Amino acid sequence: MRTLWEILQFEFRQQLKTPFLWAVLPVFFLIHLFSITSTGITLWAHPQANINSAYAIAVTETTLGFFGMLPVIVFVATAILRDGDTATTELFFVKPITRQQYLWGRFAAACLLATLVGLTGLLGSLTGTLMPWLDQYRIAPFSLQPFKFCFFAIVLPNVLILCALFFSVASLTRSLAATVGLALVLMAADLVLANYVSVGNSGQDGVGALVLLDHSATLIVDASSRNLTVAELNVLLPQALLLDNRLLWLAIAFGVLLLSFKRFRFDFTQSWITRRLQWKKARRKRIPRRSSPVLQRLQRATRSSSGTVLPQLGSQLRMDLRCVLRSPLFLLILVLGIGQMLSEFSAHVSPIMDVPLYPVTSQMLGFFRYVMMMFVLIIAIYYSGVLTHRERESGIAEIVAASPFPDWIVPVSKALALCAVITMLLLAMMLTAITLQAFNGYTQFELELYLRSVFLYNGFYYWMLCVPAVLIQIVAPNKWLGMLLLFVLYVVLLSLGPLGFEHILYGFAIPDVIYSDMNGFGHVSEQVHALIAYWACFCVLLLLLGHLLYPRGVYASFRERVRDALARLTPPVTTVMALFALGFVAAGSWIFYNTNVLNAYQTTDDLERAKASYETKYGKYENRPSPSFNDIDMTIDIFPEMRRLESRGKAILRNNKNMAIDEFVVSVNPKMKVNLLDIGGATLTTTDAVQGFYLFKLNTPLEPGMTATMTWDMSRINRGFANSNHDTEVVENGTFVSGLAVMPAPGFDYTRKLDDNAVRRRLGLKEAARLPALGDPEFLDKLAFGVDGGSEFRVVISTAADQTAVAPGVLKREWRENERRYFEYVAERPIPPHLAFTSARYEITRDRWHDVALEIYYYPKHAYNVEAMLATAKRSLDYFTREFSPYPLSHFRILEYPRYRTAAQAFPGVVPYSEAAGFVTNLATLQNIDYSTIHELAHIWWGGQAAAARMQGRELLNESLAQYSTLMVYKANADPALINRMIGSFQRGYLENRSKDTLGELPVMYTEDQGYISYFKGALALYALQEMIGENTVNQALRNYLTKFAFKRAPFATSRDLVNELRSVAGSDYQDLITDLFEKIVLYDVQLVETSAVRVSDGYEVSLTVSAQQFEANGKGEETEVPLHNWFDVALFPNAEPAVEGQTPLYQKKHLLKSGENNITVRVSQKPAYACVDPYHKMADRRPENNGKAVHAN
Amino acid sequence: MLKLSGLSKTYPGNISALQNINLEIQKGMFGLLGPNGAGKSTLMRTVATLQEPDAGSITFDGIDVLKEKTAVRKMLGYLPQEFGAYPRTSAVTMLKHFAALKGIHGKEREAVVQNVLIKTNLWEARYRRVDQFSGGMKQRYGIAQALIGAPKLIIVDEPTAGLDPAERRRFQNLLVELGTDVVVLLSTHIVDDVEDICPQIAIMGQGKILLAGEATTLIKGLEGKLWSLVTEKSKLAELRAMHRVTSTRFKSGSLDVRVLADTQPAGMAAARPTLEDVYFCALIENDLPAELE
Repeated sequence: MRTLWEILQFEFRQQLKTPFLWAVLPVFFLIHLFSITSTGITLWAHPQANINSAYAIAVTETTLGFFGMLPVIVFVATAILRDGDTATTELFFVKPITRQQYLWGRFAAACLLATLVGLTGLLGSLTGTLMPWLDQYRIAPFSLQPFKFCFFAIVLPNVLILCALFFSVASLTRSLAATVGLALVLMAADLVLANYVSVGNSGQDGVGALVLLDHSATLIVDASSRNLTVAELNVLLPQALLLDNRLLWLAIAFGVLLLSFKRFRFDFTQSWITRRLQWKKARRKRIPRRSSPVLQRLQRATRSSSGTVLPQLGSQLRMDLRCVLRSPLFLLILVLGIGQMLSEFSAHVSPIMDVPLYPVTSQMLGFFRYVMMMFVLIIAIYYSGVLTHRERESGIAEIVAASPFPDWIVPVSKALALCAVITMLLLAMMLTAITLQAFNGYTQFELELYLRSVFLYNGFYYWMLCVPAVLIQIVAPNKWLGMLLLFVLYVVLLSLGPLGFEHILYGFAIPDVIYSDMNGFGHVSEQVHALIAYWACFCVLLLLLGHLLYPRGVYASFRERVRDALARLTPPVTTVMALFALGFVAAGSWIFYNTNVLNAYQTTDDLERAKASYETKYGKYENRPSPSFNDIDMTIDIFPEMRRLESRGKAILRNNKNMAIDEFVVSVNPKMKVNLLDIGGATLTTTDAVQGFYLFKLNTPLEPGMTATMTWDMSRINRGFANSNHDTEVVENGTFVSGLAVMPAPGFDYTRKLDDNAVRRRLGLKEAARLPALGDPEFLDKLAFGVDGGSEFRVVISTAADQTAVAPGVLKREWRENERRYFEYVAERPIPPHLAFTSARYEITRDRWHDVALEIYYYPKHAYNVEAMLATAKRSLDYFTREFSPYPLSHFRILEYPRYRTAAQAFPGVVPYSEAAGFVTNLATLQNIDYSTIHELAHIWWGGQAAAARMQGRELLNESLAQYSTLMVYKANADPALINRMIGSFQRGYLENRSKDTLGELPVMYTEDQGYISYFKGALALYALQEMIGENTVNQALRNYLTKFAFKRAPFATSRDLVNELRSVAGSDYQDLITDLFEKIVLYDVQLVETSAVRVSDGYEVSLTVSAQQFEANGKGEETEVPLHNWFDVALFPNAEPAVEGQTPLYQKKHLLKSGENNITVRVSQKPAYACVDPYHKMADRRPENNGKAVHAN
Repeated sequence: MLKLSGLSKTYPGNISALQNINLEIQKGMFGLLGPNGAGKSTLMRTVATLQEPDAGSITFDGIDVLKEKTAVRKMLGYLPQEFGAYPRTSAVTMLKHFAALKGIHGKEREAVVQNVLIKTNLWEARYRRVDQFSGGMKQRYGIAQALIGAPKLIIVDEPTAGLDPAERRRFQNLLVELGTDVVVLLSTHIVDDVEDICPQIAIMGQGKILLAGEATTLIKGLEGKLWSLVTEKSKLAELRAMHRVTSTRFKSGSLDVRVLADTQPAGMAAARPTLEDVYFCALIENDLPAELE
């Protein structure tokens, strides 16, 4: 015991002397401190939870624990590998100590050190929560409890687990490379697991168990907090599954450790692993036949001074590459990289309904940034250290130094070798991507695209990161310190953006370029090319610095090193330096000219401040009355190659209010340059061109019903390239702008107000205003900014000769003039001035449904789903015109636009649809029925014909009805299994997101544009209702609603109007149900307690005991139990797999459940193996996992 | 010819490694003797262009070594005291790499590497990993890389430490075979090495050259000044008080003491001086400790 203690404290004290430890402690303290205190850096914790809640601290500790791998590796490697490296092994192994004492002593010391680092990190977090500049709203009174919890539940176990695992590998293989390999494996496994758990698989049975595999507990904390509300997050400790996970991993880690202890040999035989690897190699090596060469006279070798430099570099490079490429670690890196690519690929789905996408190359290009970054950083940190210090560590430094070659050969060779590793990895991943495409039947590989994106736009960035790595290692005295410094550098670089330092000139990065099939790399590539030239010059300068500082020989003091460096400043070197410095300055000036002179440089903070200022100065005009569009006659000229747009026109504004208006605001999007803005009979009293604010005072007040004429001429001009926030609306191919972006509109633009309350507090604003209360008479006549009723509309839109321009309305005329194409569109009836203008080189497919022209405008290579979209549109029109009301227009158009935005949006008769969503979706899982086509077409009714007043609940009338319509079309045209899956997906979307709500949940009728309610819960409510009272009944209510509100002027529809319609058709039995569904927040807790079956004459009699409860929740998530009296599906399935999906139920019927225990008896003819209550999640059950059970028949 | 003038070097903390070293070294073998810490390695490294002196100059065949390092490195072969090889790399691969760094490529490189491998008797073992060589083989690999490119200046620092007698002999023969056309600067503290093969020697102590010249001459210089006596350990202190004891050695139980004196002390016989005696005398005369008390 004493020996063990001696070994432990000696090792501990040894490592305490190393500079690495004393550098690591402050670094980790600061990392945790900054992570907690920086408003820019939020990890994935809920943005509204208390910063010092156990949950938030746990998020920080588990996520940052990843960085803890570096010090653990260093401590462990030093503890167990140092003897081998310093040739002290023999000295130890002949002493009378046992293996146990040696290993436990060293291990315990490494653990203590790692705990010290972990504790320091936790202290950093603690200190962070005490900082006064934090948002005090989210700081609970100080308590040590969250930190104690995190230490004992997260930090300490993680330290022990990592130490044990790494120590085992290090002692088994006696190799540092293998230990680093383990780190990579753990990291890759974490990423794969995270991918699998997050996308679409959450909620499926069995996934819950998978989170146990996460050794760092990050996923556990996430999973246990998923469905909780903010109130709960602030108070509860994230305990679910945590204990199991800790015990599991501690058992695994220590099991492996004990195993490794058993196998540890206290002698010189190589570890059995490395012996096996070498034995294989030795067997394969061919011994050349014994030859007797003639001894030749050693002649003086002829050497020319200039011609030998490149071969010298070649030889050094070859040696350095051997070091890297022959090690098993490199193979492991390749394997992990490929694994990551596979995992990313399988997790890549459409943002709409999580449906898989076709593996078009433009999609694949997105995989080379995010995940690769982690690999690249680790490779750079580790290999730069290994390569640069190689000569010194092998003992050949002096021999090499005394050889006649230019000083720059060695540092350049190291940098090239490092870049070569990265290049190989990129190549491997690219080949994997191509293979995946081929495997999925897609063969248009577009290799030049891959090469350009992978090696130029991404590869160059990664090579860039290697250069400072080599430079830092040249300066650092040993590789550990170098690695730590490099790690700090990377953390700083990655933090610059989030902390508000956003200019590309100092960011040392190449921004990620989005490739759009339609628009290619876009004009952003200009910026990127300039940056590449800029940073390339800088990297050459860094390499030259490395050349100057590269240690050759022995230095007694730093002064000598500087002297040597200055001696290396020969004329060729200074010339090259001057040349590239010039290039650097030239490129930098060009970039600065573009980003700061031609454009305005604005950080995210600047933009937020501008919005705050707009609100503070002009917010008082928000609810003042203004006239509405009555007639619009405008011209749009698009110049795609110049990314320029001209907008001119005349609009008649009518006073639709019942009071006179004597002054009103006209808002213009700040991106537009106003050349002319005039209101007939009014004077411009206030102008703020920067904010696009114009206040007009009428010479004579505008009486109700009177009109005024507005004329305008404005331009959107894009010059050069900006620093960020590029204009992605007016582009070379695939322009898509909304009307309000390019024309003036009466009224204060309240959409520009900031919604994030944390940002508002920081900028001194009050909390964001909520939507007006339901029924507020002030707002019954308001729809949205710039849209307050129907307007006549006519536009002449022109574009380049090879493009087609599209706008809402019937195409009246099309002609060519001045080598441009002109189109005239006129709306056939008044439409809400919700306009969209697009222009691109489209391929057009036309079809008809009765007398409606169906048109799809798309990028020629994205024809996959065009037929499906047309077929879907027809089926939807069949349903909607039958069930709701006639289609009001003569055309329906779907337009593809570039992937800079990923949504689909409905305008009158025109639906722009992103190339990244529907056009490359693989619709097989949706039975070839396109989701967004139905949804957006439905909006022509819900939002188009009948408009919702701007107040609480309006989204029920827009989105929920559109979602309901979509579900109904699927119900009419697809398998029940598909719609059940959708329902399940909606339910998950609702339950998971309700806890993330910053406003607090509201009942459906009162929803304030809360997406998870509008898109999910509202639709579920309507669906549940039609299951109870019948589809026809619900649709009758919708017809009545349309009769009352379609095409009518103010007062506009409210959610209460719709609910009243539903109430009048539903009958007295269902009034309470309607209240529960729409006016309250109701949740259930249903559990199938017991089930059994007995054989009877004609089959089986199955009895189920179901415990059920109903809760009502308030917005903060506090629940009270209320009596339950509602109907639930009860289903029996033939197979015992819990995967309800894919099975046809033997029995499915609604049964009435009441609070407490319910006994249900059911008869079926076939033998059931699995029983489930509400198998398709139609009801909001907070814990659906306990609804089903296997049935045992006696 | 290698000429060192006024070389001085002081490490931080006022440690004088070299104090005003002046030497002229002709072609052939030159032995540099001295105790540990005398400054031999510092001197070796400085001449091998690896370290800067604080003062002084070095010329080799008219080339200023300190200023024209690359030119010197082209003619240099250096075997340091501590050296190694890249892990898991074979001898021939390392040697080919060193040859490349020395500016030899292509077919010529093959021939050169083959030559040095044969010369150092490593031809059979050329594909084996250097980190698995025995001590003797490793030294041979070391001298092999130093011989690449037929250097005109070879600097060998403590090369025979750890070699068995046969290997030492072989090593010495190898060095001698290099011929009289090359300057070989050999530093060691094994006097036998120097005695057998170095016509010229210098003895260093505490950063200074204590003695330099032809070995035979220096040995002759001690004739008539060296006396020996066989006695017991108890008498040693007394002897030390009376005479300048240069060395003591235990021989079959009794103590063989050598003393430096101009005239024959009582009870002592004349001893035939060897190079080792020259070494010890040089240390004694400069008040440097030759042995532990």
